[in-house]
Amino acid sequence: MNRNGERVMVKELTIRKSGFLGILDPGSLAELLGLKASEPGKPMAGVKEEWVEISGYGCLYVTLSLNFIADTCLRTNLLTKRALAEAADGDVIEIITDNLSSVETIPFMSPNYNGLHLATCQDAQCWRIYVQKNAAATQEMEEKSDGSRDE
Amino acid sequence: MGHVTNNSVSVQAVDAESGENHNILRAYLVLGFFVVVSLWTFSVDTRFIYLSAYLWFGFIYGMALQYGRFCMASAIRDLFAVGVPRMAVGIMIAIVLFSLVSAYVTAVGKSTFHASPLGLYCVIGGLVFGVGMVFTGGCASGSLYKTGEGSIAALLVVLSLSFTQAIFVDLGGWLNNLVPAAWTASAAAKNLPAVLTPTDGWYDQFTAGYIWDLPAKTIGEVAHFSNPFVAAFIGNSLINSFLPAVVILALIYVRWYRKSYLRDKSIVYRGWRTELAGYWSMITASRRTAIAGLILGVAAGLHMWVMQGLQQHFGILNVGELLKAMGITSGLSIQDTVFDPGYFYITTQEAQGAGWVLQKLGVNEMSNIFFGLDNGLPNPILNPVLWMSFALIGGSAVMALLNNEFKLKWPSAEIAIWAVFGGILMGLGARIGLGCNIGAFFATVTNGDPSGWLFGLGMTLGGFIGVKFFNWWIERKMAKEVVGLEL
Repeated sequence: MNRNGERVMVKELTIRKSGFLGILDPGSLAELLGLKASEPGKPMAGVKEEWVEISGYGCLYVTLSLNFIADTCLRTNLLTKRALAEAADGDVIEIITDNLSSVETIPFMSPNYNGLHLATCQDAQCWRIYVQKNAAATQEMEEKSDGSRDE
Repeated sequence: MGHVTNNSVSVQAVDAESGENHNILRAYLVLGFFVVVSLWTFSVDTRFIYLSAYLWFGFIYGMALQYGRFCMASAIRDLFAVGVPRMAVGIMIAIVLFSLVSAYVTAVGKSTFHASPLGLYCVIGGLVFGVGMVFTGGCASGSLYKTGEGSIAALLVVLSLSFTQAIFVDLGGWLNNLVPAAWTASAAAKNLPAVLTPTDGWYDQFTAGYIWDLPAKTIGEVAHFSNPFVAAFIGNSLINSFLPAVVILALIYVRWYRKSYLRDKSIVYRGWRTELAGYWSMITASRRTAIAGLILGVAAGLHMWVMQGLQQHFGILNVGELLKAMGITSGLSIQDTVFDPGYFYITTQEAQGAGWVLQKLGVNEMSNIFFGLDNGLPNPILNPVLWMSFALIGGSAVMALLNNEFKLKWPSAEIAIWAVFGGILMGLGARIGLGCNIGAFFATVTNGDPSGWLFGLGMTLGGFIGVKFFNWWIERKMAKEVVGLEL
C-alpha cells in the first residue's frame, strides 16, 4: 500500500540472461523501458505488492525492482544507470544485489543521473538499494499542486 | 523486507542474531587457523617467521581491501562507466601514504624495492591487463579479496590468470617466429645456462633480449641526489608519487566531481576556497575507502621495512638461501632463489602455484628464465609469497564474516566465461607488464619508479576500452531485442 492507503502494484524485474553473454530478455527489457505493460487487472508474472517505509522519506512505493543477484558490478552499475535514465520523475527504484562493490558505488553514482539515494538495506542474502528519480523536482511539483489546491 | 534506514551509505543488517554469531565463530576459526600455522611452523623452526611475516601482512591487506571494497578495476570502471571517483580517490590516498612510508624506509636503507625497466612494454602490458580486469570485474588483488568474500567467479579469475602466466612464460614453438631477431641475438649474447634454453620461447627472449637491456632506475637515482633522505622524499615520494597523485585528483575533481558538488544549493561559491573545499569533499566522500587507503598505504610501507629487517637479521638477500639452510631445496631456481620481492605482490606467486601444478603434471616448467632462473617453483605450502596470497584471502574472509558479508556465490555460465577469458588477458598483461595493478603499478609508483605510471596509463586505457566495449555490447543487445519485439 502507498501512503494514501491505496494498493500499489510493484513490478519486480529479474534481469535474466538470454543465450551467450545475453543482457536482458525481451520481456524484461520492454518492461524496463516502459514499452510493455501488463493488461489492466491482470498481474504480470513476477508482480508483487510492496511498499517501503523509509525514515525521513515516509512511505514510498517501489516502481521498479531490479534483481542483480550474482551479477557483476559493471553490469549492475550500467543497468542501474540505464534504469535511472528511463525512469519517470518520482519513480522509486529498488536495486537488489549481492555485489558489494555496487552496494558502495550506486549511492555515489545516483546524483549523476538525477537520482536520490534513499536507503541501503542489508538482507540475509542480498542488499536492497532504494533510489528515487528526480526526487527534488517531484517534491516541488507536489508542493505546488498542494498550494494551488489550498488556494 | 528488512528495516530500511536513510543513512546514505551505512546500512542495518537484518540477519538473524544466530547467523551473526555463526559468522563471528567462523571468522575466529579462520583467524585461528593462521595463528596456528604461524605458531606451529615457528615451533618447528624459528626461521619460518620470515614466511609468517608475509602471511600477516597478507592478512592485513585482505582485511583492508575487503573493508574498502578496494579494487583498481572498480576505480577505472566507475569513473568511465558511471562517473564515480570514490575508488580512484582511495587509490591515490593509498599511493601518497605508501610513498611517504616507503621514502622513509628507503632513506634508512631498509627498502627491498628494485626499480623495473622503463619501456613501452609497461603500457602494452597494462593495456591488456586493464581490458581483462574490466571483463572479469576485478583486478588481481580485487579478485583475491573477492575470493575471500565467497565469490567463485573471482576464484576462477585467480586460477585463469595463474595458469595463463605459467603456460605463457614457457611457450615456444610457433611463438618464436614472433620474436624480433635483435631479441634473440641479445638473449644469446647473455651466455645463460643451456638448461634455460634462452633462445627458445617468446617470454625468455622478451626477458633476456629486451627487458634486461632497458634502463631501470628510480627518480631519486636518476636525479643523483647525494642525500638519501632528499632522494627518497623529494625524488621518489614528492616527484614520482605525491605531485602526480595531486594532479590526477585535480583532474578527477574537475572532470567528475566539481559539477555535482557545486550543484548543492547550500554551497555559496567563493572562488578557490570553494574549489578547495570541493576537492577535500571528494577526498573524504567515502570514509570507508579513505580508511582502507590509509591502512594499505602504511602497511605496504611497513611490510618492506619488516622484510628487509628480517633479511638483515638472517643475513640473506633472498629467502631461497633461508629455505636451503632449512634443508628445503626442492623448487629452488638454479641460483638457489625463489620469488621474494619483500613487498606487496600478487601475480608472480600465483604463477608459481600454477607452474608447480603443471610441473607435477609432467610439464618441464623449470626450463625457462621466469621459473628456472629467477623465481623457482617451490611447493605452494612452502612458498613464502604465496602464504601472503592465502592469508589475503583469509583476511578478506574474516572481515566479510564479521560484517555478515560473506556469501558463497556461484557464477552463471556467462559470468564464468567472462571470468576465465578476462583472467587470460590479465595473465598475459601481467607477464608482459612484469606485474599487475599491485606489483607493476601500486608498488612501483610509490617507490619512485616511473615505469609504474606507464603501466597505470596502459591499465587506464585498457579499462576505458573495456568499459566502452561493455557499453556498446549492452546498447547493441538492447537495440536488437527492441527490434525483436516489433513494438
